[in-house]
Amino acid sequence: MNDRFDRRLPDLLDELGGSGRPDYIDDLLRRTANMRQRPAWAFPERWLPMAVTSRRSMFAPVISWRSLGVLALIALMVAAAIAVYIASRRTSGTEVSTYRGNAARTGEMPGPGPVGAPKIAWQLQAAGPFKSSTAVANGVIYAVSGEGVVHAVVLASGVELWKANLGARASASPLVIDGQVIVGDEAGVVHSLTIVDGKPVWITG
Amino acid sequence: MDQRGLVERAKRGDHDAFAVLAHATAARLDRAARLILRDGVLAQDAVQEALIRAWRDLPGLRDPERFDAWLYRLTVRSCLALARRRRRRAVEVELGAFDIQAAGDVAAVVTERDLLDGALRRLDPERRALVVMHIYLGMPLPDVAVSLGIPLGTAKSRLHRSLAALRAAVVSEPEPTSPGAAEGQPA
Repeated sequence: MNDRFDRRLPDLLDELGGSGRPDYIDDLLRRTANMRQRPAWAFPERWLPMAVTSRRSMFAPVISWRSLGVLALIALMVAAAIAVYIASRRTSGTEVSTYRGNAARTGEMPGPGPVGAPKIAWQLQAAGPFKSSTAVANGVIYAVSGEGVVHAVVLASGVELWKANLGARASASPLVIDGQVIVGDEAGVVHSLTIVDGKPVWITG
Repeated sequence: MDQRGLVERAKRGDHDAFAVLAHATAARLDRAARLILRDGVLAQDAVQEALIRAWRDLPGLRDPERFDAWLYRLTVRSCLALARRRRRRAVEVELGAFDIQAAGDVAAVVTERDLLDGALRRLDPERRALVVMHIYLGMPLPDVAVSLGIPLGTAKSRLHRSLAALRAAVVSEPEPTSPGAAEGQPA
C-alpha cells in the first residue's frame, strides 16, 4: 500500500497542481520582449567555480530596508555611546582644572604619570612666554601666555581651538569651572571666558 | 531545434527562442508553484517573477544543459520569497477543474487527492518545496539540498518526515519505520 502510494505520488501531485496551460505566459512574454538582458560579464559568479555559486542558500534571510535602517540606527547609537564612554575615560584621567590640581593646592594629579622617556607629541608657539601652569578639562588644555593670551588646545592633537587676548599681561594659572575659563591678569582684572570659543562671559572691575 | 540550441540562442538575446522555452516549461512551473504555495494567485506571481529573472539573467547561465534545473531553482526561490512575504495572507482554497485521467472509482480518487491536499497544506512551504523539487520535478536530492542551502542529511530527514506525513494522511495503514524506505526516489 505504501509502495503504491510512493509510486503514485508524482502523478497525484501533478493532478493536485492543476491542469491546463497557464494563460498569462503570452502577456509575460510581451513584457520580457521589451526587457534588456543582463550582459554576461555582469555576472561575477561566472568567474567562480560552479560548486561555490550553487552553494548559495535559498533560505538566506531577507532583510527589509526598514530593518536595515533600524539596525543601522541602533549600531550608530551604540557606537556613539562607546565613543562617549571611551572619551570620558580618556579625559577624566587628565582633568586638572586648576593650579596644583585642586583648590587646596595639594598637588594631587589624577595620573597615571609618564612611563618611559616622554617624547614631544606636538608644540605650540605663543607670542610670549608661559609663566603659569595649564589647566586641562574635557581633553582640552587651557594655557595663558605672559602676553595675556589664553590658548585652548586639543590635548591629543595639539590643534588650537581658539585663543583670546585679555588685553593685559598675565602670569596666573587659569581655573576651569562650570564651562568657563577664569583668568586673572596683571592689571587686576579677572576674566571669565566660555570654554567653547573663548568669548567673554564677564569681567571684574 | 533541441533545447540546448534554444538556450544558446536565448542566451544571445533571441527572445523567440526564450518564448519557445517558456511555453515548454510554463505548465510544469505553474503546477510546481501551486503545489508549494497552495495559492493560484501567488503561484502565478512566482512563475512570472522566475521567468522574468530567467530572461534577464540567462546570459549568466554557464551550462545550457542545466537550464531546467536552473529554472526550477529560480521558481522555487520565488515561491519561498513570496511565501515569506505573505505568510500572514489568507490562503485561498482553489476549486480548479480536476483532470481525472484514470478510470475507476472517481470518489476514491477525489478523496485521496483531498487527503493529500490537506496533508500538503499542513507542511510548511520549505518542506513542500523539498517534496516538490524531488518528487514532482525529479531533481536529485543532493541538488535539492544544495539549492535549499541545507545539508544532505537534513534534506533526507525532512523529506522522510514529510513523506511520512503525506503517506499517513492518505494511506490508512500504519507508517513504516525504516528510514531507507523513505528516501523517495523520483519516479
